[in-house]
Amino acid sequence: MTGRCLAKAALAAAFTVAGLLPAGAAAPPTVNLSSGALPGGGQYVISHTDIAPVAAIALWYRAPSSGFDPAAVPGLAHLAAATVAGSAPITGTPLGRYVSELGGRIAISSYPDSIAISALVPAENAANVVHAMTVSFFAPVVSADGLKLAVRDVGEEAFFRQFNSEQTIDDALDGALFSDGPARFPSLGPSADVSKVTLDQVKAYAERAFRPANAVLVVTGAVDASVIATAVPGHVDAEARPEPPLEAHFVAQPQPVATTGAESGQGLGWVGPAIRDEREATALDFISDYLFRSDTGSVQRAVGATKSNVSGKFVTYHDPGVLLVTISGGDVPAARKIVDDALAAIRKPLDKSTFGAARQAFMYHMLSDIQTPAGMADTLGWYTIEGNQAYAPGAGGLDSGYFAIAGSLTPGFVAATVNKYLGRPGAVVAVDAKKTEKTTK
Amino acid sequence: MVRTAAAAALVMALGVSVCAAPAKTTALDVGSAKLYLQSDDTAMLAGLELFVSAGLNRESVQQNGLAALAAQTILESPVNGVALGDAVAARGGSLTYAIGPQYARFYLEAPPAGIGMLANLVSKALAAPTLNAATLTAARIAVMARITDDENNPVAVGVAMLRQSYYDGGAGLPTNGTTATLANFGLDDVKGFIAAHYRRGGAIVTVVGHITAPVAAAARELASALPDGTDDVVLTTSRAFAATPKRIVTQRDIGVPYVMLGFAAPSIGDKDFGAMLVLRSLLSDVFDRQSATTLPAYSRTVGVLYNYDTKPASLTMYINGQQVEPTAGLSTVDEVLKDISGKALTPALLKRYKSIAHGEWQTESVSLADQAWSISNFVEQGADPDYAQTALAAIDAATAPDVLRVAQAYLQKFTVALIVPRGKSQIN
Repeated sequence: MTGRCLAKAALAAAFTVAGLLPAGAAAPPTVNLSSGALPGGGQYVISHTDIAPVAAIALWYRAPSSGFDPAAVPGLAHLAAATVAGSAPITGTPLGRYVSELGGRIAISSYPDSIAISALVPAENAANVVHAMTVSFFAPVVSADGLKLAVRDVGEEAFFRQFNSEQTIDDALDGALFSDGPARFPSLGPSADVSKVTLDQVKAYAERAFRPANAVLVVTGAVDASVIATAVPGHVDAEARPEPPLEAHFVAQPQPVATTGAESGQGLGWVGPAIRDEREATALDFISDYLFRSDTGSVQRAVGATKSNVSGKFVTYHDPGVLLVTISGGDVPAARKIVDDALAAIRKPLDKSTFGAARQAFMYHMLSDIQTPAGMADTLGWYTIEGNQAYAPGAGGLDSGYFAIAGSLTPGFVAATVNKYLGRPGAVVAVDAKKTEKTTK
Repeated sequence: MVRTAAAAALVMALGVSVCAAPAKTTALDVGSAKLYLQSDDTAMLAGLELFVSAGLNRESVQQNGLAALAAQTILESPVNGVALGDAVAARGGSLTYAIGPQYARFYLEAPPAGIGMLANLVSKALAAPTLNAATLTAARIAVMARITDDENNPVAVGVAMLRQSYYDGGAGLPTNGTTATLANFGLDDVKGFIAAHYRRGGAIVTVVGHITAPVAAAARELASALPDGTDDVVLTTSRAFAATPKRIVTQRDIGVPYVMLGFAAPSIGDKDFGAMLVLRSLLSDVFDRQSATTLPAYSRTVGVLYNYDTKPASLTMYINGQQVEPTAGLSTVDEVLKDISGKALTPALLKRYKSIAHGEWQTESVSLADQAWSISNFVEQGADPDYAQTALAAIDAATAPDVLRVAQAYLQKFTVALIVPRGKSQIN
């Protein structure tokens, strides 16, 4: 029995016998995080939690969403990953079907310069799924049948994506803020374009992107660290270096963008700090939470009567990050005024009491977001692939790293950070509602 | 070779031990309330949940919405001029509530170091909620917003229709009432409801996450907050299905029609619960096309909801009008239901759906809130707090004859709910 198990048994006994633990016996939560190199190159990160008998397993790759070639193919990364998940490896079952037959779930998330293949499975199957996932993605097989499945899945996702106003505006903001690189293009292109991608394009992309040296394997949940050893090494002759992060160049004076979407809307975007500028990045996370967090954000509460949907987030990319605000549906001009007023107000330091409460709430929200194995895996994978694993919320427990920085924020520093980045010219997007009707298939 | 050797070395180097045994729940009596604790010292948060016998089954038709209004009024009780829910948020936690057919559920979550102070605020509001015109108005607006959200969700509309058709009495009423009923309630109605039903007797407090001494003390405080006394027992009963499926129809501002089927189902603790979980997995899977990854809800042809939050339980299937023409979908579902009620699953199919059911059961309650709800719900229905393990064993033990028997007992009679776009012609 390990120390942790003994502690649990002792705690249970204390409740049963005395009904109450002695005051002041509050031990800090333990953080069980380890990381290292995979046998075939690349990195692994593993975090043990006992919250539920499940494991989240994710493979992250540095992989541009629109391809490695200068001629962009929006959605190529997503399509390639789905094709690999739908193709039968040399031995065994296609990964997607394998996870489904365990009662698990598997999903692909594509970002401008990275992609994640994530599964949630019973913990007892974690080792087998690590093995199956690395078999599929460390020496990818791409078949015509797999591509057929992927085209249908990804095409349908792209079809529904066009009705997501927040996504439409985010895409337009990224396109306005960056002068080059994959962020200029949607991570999923129009559904009609998806079917034009050839098997050769997918194969070339998969072989370059999905190899062990370019991977971060994240495993979280009720698992033993030895599950990492079930990862296969991959091709011996595969390129041994990871893809470098793309240098993203931003536009100094973004031009206003007019576009069409499912409903009218507006967007505002600014370039923010890089992931290495931890304190500034945390300050913008704090502002996003204070103003825009669903249900609790001060702007969210104020816009209720406008019936607009408002979102705001700081995206901690490698370099630079971006702050994106979207407004869609309802009375957009009225909601825009509320957003503008709120953004103007936070250029001055918040009063001590308001700031203290907002910081407490922010830290709780961050803890809440990483409480499940899937949430933790997402966070660890993102921060590792973007180049700052130690800064991932939760990686340092409550007393160091992200939460220590969050706890040290001051009203003055937050206001100064807002002025530094939001004082620059930002991107502005106006969306005109187009007459589109969802079709029934 | 080098890489194989490195892998072996990695196994040696990473040999850390784990506590693989399933979590066990500790039970305590706090007066006439029950306290359950399931500790996880790797969690960075703690969660406290309170089940009170103040759900829909305490409402008459005229009182529909009062359970939600009472719970919301407690969240609106001011703490230094700020509503309780907001006061908790400003101190680094969250407080939510939900109304079920048989209980009202409050859930408080925060870091262990701060949850004691928050539980104290909640306990005071539960013991003596501030009931005045301002809190009532705020509560009414919040509950009306919940009603609007539910009305915009065709699946929620269908579930409510089927529940109303299935249960006798208050358990079948709309969860948050209607805009018409809510408008009629005054302060005395809310005061009367809270006084009658917010009692310590039969209350359940469940604690999950990182349980320290202050967290345990907070749980005891919450369990002791309600006035002593026990409300009358209300037995929830269901109606028998007709030989020919009953059809209920409504219109909403939606783009495509939804068809929903409501069945009776074994409750928690029933010997057939495991076999029904196998059938749930089969019905969730059998209509979907092959895909590269897990299909999102909008891409699925049929969805299945097992409503084991109530005893007697029910099962709901919905046919997604985005994916299939509803009449054709209904016909296909009918064929499958006849098939699985007519002959036993082959060994290969049984193995496949037991495996899926096993995994789905394990992965469906992962967050602290879900874990707390599961424990409270098991206990509320008379089962062991660690019933999750019992259900898992029941899935593993299910045989083909078990699955056939359960399909014949539960899936041959049903009610059909049609939710059609406003202004469109009805479905055949």
